[in-house]
Amino acid sequence: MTPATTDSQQRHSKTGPDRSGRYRLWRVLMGPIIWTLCFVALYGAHGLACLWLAPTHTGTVGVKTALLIIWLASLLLVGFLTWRSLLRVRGQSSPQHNPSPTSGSTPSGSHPDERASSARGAFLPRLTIMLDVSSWIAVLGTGLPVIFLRICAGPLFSS
Amino acid sequence: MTQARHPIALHHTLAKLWTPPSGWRGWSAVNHTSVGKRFMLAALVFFVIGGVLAMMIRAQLGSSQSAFMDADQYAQVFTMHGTVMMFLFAIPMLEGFGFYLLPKMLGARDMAFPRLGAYSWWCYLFGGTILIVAMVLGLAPDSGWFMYTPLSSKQFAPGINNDMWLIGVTFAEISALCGAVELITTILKMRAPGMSLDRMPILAWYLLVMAGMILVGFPPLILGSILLELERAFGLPFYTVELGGDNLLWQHLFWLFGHPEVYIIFLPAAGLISTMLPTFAQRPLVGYIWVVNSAIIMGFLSFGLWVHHMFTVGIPHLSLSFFSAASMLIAIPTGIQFFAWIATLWSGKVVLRLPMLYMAGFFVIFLIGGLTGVMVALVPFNFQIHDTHFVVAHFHYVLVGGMVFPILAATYYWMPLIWGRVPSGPLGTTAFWLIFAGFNLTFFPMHLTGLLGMTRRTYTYSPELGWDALNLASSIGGFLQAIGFAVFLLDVVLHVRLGRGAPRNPWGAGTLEWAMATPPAPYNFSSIAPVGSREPLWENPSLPAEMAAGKHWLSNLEQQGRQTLGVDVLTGRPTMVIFVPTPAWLPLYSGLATGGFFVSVLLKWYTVSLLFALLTVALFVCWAWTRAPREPHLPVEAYPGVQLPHHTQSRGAPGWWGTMCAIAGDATLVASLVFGCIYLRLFAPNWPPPQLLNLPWPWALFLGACLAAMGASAAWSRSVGAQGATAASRTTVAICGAASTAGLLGIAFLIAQAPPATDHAYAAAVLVTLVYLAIHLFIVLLMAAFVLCRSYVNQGRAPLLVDTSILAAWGVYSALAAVLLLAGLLFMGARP
Repeated sequence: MTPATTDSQQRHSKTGPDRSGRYRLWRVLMGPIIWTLCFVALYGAHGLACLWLAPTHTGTVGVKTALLIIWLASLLLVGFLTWRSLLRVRGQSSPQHNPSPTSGSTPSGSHPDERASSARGAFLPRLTIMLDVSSWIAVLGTGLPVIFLRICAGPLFSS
Repeated sequence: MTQARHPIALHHTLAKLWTPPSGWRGWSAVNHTSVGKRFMLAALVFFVIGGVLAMMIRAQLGSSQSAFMDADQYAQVFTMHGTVMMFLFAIPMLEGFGFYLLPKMLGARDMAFPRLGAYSWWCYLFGGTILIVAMVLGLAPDSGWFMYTPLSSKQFAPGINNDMWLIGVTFAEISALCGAVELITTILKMRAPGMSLDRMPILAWYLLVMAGMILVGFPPLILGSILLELERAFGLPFYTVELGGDNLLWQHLFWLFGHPEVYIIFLPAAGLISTMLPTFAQRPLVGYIWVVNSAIIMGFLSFGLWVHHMFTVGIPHLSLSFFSAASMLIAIPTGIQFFAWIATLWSGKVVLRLPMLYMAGFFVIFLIGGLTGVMVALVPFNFQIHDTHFVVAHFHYVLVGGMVFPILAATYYWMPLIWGRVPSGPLGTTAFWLIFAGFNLTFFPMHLTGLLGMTRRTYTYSPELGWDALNLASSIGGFLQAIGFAVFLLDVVLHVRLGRGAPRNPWGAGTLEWAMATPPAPYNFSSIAPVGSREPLWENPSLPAEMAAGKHWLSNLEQQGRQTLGVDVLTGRPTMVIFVPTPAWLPLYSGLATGGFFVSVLLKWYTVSLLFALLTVALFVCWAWTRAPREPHLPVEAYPGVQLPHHTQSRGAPGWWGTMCAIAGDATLVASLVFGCIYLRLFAPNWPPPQLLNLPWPWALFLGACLAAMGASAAWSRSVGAQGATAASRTTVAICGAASTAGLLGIAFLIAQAPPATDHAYAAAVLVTLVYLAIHLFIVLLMAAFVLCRSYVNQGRAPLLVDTSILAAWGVYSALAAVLLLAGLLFMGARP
């Protein structure tokens, strides 16, 4: 068996080729997933509140407070994730972490591992930050009406 | 290390392995080129049918008090137009492009599951045929493409028409789900060496998002359709208000699918634009990462828009505002993509060729559709124009602009690759102007008729309303557009038959599919080159020659079989050699058996349908059995000095990824069912039910223990199997099978205890939940039996890693899903 074979198989048997990939992909999508959970929580909590609570003043204040807490907690969480992502990218932008430019022009010259390192080195962290920021804006925009609109108001509701 | 083959010898060897059978045996072909072409051809046929229906609609509405059709015929025609275009044309056409192009762009020789792809096409064809046959027989569905209840319920639509829709569309949706599983696995696992995620062609990102959306978006409608069919066929009252049902549940389930569907259609079309535009701008796409970000965020946001189709049903204002906000927010990522395209053109040296003309049409029309989209996202404006022709105009601008124009551009762009012919200008240009002018003449006036109050789905109107001139203009535009499409088709057919032969890479594109000869060889690439950038052909113009000469990966064919590379998801590092299947009739047989099941349900031959269901399961087992290796494969020398394992002996094999995708789709269906149960319990009138399910606590404990044992033993079988412990692995698999059998018995007891399902929506939901749970456990039992049999047949070896991995994934998931479903049942039965 050639050295290349041994190396390939050792890496394969020790960590499994996809384990890190799965972890990273989940992290990349974490911002949008939090937006989804925030959206469902806001819509669901408001719907349930309108169903269960009498539209009294105290009831609506409590509901509004609860919705604001959901919204602000989501904003904080996505904000925290964004901050962590930024720190990570700053750490990676230092020279010792910066992968060398990928020429890749030699079709069979360099090992694909070397040339693929840019994915781990720059692309996914940057994409993660972008998605985190996009999600933060989405959480902000989705929840803003909680401040301005009345709870349970509508054609079939009598607040 | 083995000697490299002569390029001609390599070509002959590969051609012998990959060339699909000819003549009538060609229907057994499963390779991605054949299946992709079939999808595109069938979708084109359905597009023509949908177009004829559109012309009938315009003929009817061209003048007031038209007698061209009566109300019933008109209802069938507009229902079928929407159904055909949305379910049988748009998604299958895009999936066809995806099937055909993806492996070629990614540097693979085939898709991950070619037989599943072929099965998917047969399901689509048979499902579509059911609908078209219904229309020919005058039995077409007639309650609109959204099938709102109670209009579509038995009480107001007693005929078989709507059953045709429910069965046909569900059948076609199975096809879309299979396609999504295949697309995701292919994109993640089957790429050229070194093609890390950041080097993927942009179309792959778009198709990845689209396929993910299909997995999450389609199950709610499949569930809604099953529930509606159960109500229509057996009287299970999910949507019958007086028996605890709720019509709004249908609307929620339908639009949970329906709005993401728009983006499922738009995103891959935008991917086509993002792929073609850089070629004609002669520079890489500006803001690749921004575009990827936009596509992903649109995929998520599009699931927060569904209620904007339900603004007028009485939901509280604050809830509406969440959806209104999401509807407007989605304009931001759309805008980012637009600016990326404009910047690409701005900073490049634009070459004006025929596909560019159609892309310009896309920009104009989709932009107008997007702007009216922001208008309809506003709640007060939406209240005013709800259900009017303004909405018809809006979504045609979005869908025709956002999907049809990119498809037309893509047809011309990839014509040299598919047919080996280069398009010429004149006829294609004429077609463009006819379509573009005809489209705007048809749909722009509809904004005005809508604002004047003309509602959708009314088959005639009074002359006093003053809508005649605008409607006549729309009708003239519609026929002009139809002529344009006819000219386009004529142009394509003429060029395919008589066009000038295409050289390799006639547009000077940078993506890998143009490294092939035109038309390409059936094996795509003689050898698979490592990729160092997103435009490998711009980076290394000699790449096509090197690949054809067999200088790269997988040019050594010591082991027989159709081979392609499997890579690490993130980095594109080669990790395995995937052996893909050869032509087979099993996909057709399975499709026929599935079709037999659906048709016998339609005809209410329930015993026959049960037999067909069993036959389908038997065929699937046979399918898996024949694909399975009898003995462990030796590693393959994928590159001189580099040996890679066979995919069945690798972690993260395509089968495992396919199972994960299937679990994601199924989990969405479980979540939709739980949502339905909770929704009915909380919001439907006429609750609580008269009788609740009696669940004695010993039985609950017994069922819980069975589920825990099933999940734990499935997970354990994988870990002991990975260590090569044959006896322990077999024992755990056997325990898993026994636990699922005991669980099935427990569920059978509960079903016997349940109140009559026709009495109340609660009892109906209990029955459906328990049956669905039983199906999961039955699949676990089947898998366990399969793994055990394989282990014994394979000369007493331990079960294969790929087998136990799949069993573990499905077993653990089924146990968790069962707990969630049972929790839903308990919640439904709780007293307020």
